[in-house]
Amino acid sequence: MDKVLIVDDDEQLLLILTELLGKYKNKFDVYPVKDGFEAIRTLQEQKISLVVTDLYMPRINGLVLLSYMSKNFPNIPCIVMTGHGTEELRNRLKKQFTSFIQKPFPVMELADIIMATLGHDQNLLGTMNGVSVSGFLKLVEMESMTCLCEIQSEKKETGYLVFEGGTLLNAFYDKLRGEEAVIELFKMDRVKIKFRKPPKKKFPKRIKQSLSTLLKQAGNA
Amino acid sequence: MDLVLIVDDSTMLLNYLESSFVQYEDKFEAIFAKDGMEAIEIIKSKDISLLVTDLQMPRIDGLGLLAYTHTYHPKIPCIVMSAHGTPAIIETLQSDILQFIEKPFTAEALTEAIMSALKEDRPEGTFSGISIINFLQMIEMEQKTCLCEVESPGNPAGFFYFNSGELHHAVFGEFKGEEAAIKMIHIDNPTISFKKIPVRKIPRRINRELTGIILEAVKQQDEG
Repeated sequence: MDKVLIVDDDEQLLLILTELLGKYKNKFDVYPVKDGFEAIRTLQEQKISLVVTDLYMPRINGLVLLSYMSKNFPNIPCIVMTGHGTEELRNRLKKQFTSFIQKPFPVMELADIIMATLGHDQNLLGTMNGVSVSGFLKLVEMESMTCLCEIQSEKKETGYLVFEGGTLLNAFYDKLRGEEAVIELFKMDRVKIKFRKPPKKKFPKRIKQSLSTLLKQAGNA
Repeated sequence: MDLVLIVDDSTMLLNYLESSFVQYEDKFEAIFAKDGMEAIEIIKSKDISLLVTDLQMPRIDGLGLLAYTHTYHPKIPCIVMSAHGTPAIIETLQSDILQFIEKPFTAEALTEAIMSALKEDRPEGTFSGISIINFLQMIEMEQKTCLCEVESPGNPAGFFYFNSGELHHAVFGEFKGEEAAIKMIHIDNPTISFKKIPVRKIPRRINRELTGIILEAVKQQDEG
């Protein structure tokens, strides 16, 4: 069973999260602690799968805990939750750590992120590792898949491709949309791909050129 | 249906309580506010059976809200949700009209406290609202810096000045310091309000602990 460590000095919030996340006890166990000091002790004693932490806490705060973890437990993913924080801090955290959730948040949203991070993602259809983008495209076309593909490069750059019945509708990469994003994503090799059920939202078709033309433009044909 | 007003600046707590109270909707109706200012607007427009409030909040805090309720709606019972009430303090502060629940609590525990507060029969005759001693102890508990005004018919205005929860000074007519504090504690049903703290430094004239002063006042009252 996965053990999720939750760190927050607001004991009322800790109790709420423990109670509401208790609904997922067939998926993971919750270990609530009230500061970074207790968190480090628990990390040393228990095999923790995921840490959800606040930033501002007495004794050892969240930033110190995160840097301790990157040195001692670099493979444990973190979800940072906070009510404050500058834009700059947020961007830095987004780059550095798995996820970020801003307080106040619906507890179900945190539960979704925890499940996705632990791999209990109900919308996750499958993953592929170390594949080339062109190879995987053939598969999507052949299978006429309708899905949202999350593409992650070795440098952890992430983009998305939206398919409907094997047709590429739209793509997102950094600030790029549509064909521009597709070309950048097609340049990537040895990517990690996650297939998800597409969101309920309807995507308009933003890709006009054929996939082979776009692949050629990316120099990856 | 009893209408229960819940006041806290934590949206996550309010959301948690709102979703948990759904199962008690045949028992009471809950209405939510995120600070004292919003709460006062609701109290003015609706018939509230019970007030449940946090103490630390922006704009008008819990003490300000309790002072308002005490003055204008003294019959509304209150439950204070407090993060640092030690059991000893809670025991001394409890009364018919004022109860405490210590954070963290479950929605279930708060529901029990709400149900018992709603059931409570408060005899009309002996009714006196939140006492001045309650206010003083809550200021100490919250380690607040504030100027608390005490008004009552036929008496001059009085003030208590607290610095980080310690009683530093009191003025009541011509009386100053400890003597003024003790005389004010004797006042029945005063109106309490919180004033802006003046810019000039208020000197410390009281060095005795609040508990000692309260005990002295109670002793004098018993003797007199």
